[in-house]
Amino acid sequence: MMKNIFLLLTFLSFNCVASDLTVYTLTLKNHRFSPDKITVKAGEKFKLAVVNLDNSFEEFESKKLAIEKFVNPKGKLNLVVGPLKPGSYDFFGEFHMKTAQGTLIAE
Amino acid sequence: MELNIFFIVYRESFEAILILSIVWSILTQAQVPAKMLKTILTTGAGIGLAISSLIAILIYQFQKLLPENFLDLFNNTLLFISIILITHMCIWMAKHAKNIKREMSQEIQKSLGMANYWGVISVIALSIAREGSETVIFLSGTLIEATREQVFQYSLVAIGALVLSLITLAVFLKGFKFFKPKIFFAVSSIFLFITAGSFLIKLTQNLINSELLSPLKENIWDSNHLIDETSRLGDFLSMTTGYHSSPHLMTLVIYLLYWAIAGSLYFRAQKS
Repeated sequence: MMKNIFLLLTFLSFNCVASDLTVYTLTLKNHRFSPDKITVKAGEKFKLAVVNLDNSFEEFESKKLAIEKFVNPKGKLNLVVGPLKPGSYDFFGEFHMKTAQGTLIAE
Repeated sequence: MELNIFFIVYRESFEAILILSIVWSILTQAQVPAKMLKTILTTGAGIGLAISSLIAILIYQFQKLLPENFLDLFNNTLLFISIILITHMCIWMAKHAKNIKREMSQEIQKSLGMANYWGVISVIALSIAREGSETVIFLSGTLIEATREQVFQYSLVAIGALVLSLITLAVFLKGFKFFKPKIFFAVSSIFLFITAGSFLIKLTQNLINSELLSPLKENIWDSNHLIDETSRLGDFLSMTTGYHSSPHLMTLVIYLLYWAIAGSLYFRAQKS
């Protein structure tokens, strides 16, 4: 029963996903984000692309944004985020915490 | 770096160990014979570790053949199956709690044939596979990048973290002993439902972020001023319950549906 409801919700929601959103790109190189400060428009949904130029796996994580996802070596991650209220949102690469740190600012 | 390795290995195994220690205690309190208990635990752990290693081999050796979002798919699938299995186990427990109360261990053993144990074994295996695969991917990546001296050093740190996890497991097992079986089953069921619920929140959020699921309505409230998920309490709550300060409507609907369905199944099983 739970599965059926779940499938139904999935089906219903496929049609109402918007896709013409502003894209912001973060690049990972030598386990550092570039840019490590990125500004997005508050109150608007947007796409966040994480491009990994390194040869190792990374886990892109942000507690405040409730994101936790793997990024493949030389891979790319596409996320839909927001809308966010004005403020700063920290993110990091869990596998290289010392260097892979950054902040997303919504204003 | 060393600290990060320690932290990740311990945190990942902690989550698996919480579930493992509860299942272990449930079986002990249900007076499952020691030999059977050993078989269940080793089979579950063995399958879990095998899946973790298999995933690591797959992604490091055959990454080009796999779809870009393979790990994401793997993660979401495991989350989904874990939710079903954990919920099923709680309901199964509710059904058998009466037998345990009567303390007729032989009768229980009969009612819990090996076939019934596969549910428990799967819960153990999946908990270990979920956390284990992440740890293995992280560790193998770190070791590949490390110099030879570092490999030795890093391995020691990882083993240290694992040992600490095992100590944590022993502490939990000791602690759980002080509960009366009936109370323990009730408390652990609630805890397991909360855990399955947190998996469901994670899964839903994951699908929304990947545009596979509509949020219906975004950020229906904001409790950030009460509990911030970057604070220590918030971090703990988000790990154990799936707490997020500004959830989407879809997440809330699915979460409430889960509790309604799991709750009614649980109470029905208790009555029967």
